Amino acid sequence: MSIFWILTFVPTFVFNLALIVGVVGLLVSVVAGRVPFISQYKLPIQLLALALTIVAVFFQGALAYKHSVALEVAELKLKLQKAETKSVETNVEIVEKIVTDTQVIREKGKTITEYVDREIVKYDNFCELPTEVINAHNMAATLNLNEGTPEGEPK
Amino acid sequence: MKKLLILPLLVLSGCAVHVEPVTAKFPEAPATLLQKCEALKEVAKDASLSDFTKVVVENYILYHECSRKVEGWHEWYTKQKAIFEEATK
Repeated sequence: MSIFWILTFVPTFVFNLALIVGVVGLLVSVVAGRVPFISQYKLPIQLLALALTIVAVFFQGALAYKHSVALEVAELKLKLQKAETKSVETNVEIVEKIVTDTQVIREKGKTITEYVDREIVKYDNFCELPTEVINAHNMAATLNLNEGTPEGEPK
Repeated sequence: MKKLLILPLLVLSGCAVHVEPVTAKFPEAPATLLQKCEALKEVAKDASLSDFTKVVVENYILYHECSRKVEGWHEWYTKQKAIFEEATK
């Protein structure tokens, strides 16, 4: 069961005061045993003071734990925030490299295509491509994975 | 009175307070990497040698573009993993 709801609306000084009152009450109960008329209240004072001390120490522990957890959470949040920023920066860096490389690849491809238009085109009339060559190329390019390996003529 | 000494053990339950969950967000992959590789091109039945060669060249270019994207994924994973591990260690 969470006890944070108590810590959120009860001020910290209340728990400090309760601890002081509890400890003082325990000391008073020791002295009260020696005073004739007050000695009859020794046990109730002792029990009340002990209960107050226990409750106060309990909440002191909870407050200290809450504080340390809050510090750790803040530290972790800061770390994650930095990581997210770094992650975005890394993405930008990677994308820039890919875009640049893709442009280079396309430029080189364009140069090769120009070479084909300039040089290979001379052999168009001398070399007729067999249909099987085109079929083999197209089968490899499309590579229909749902069908088996083609044997003989493709459909 | 000695039995009362057990009571301070209750103090330990003060540790059972609510802890705010802090979770690391999975990093978004760049849109460039999410693009699918283009399908390879086919040669027309009546293609000449130069047309055929051009399609082959285009397909090689498509391969290189796709290969660069895969390399990008490797780089993205390695770097994001390192960032995540550094933040959570």
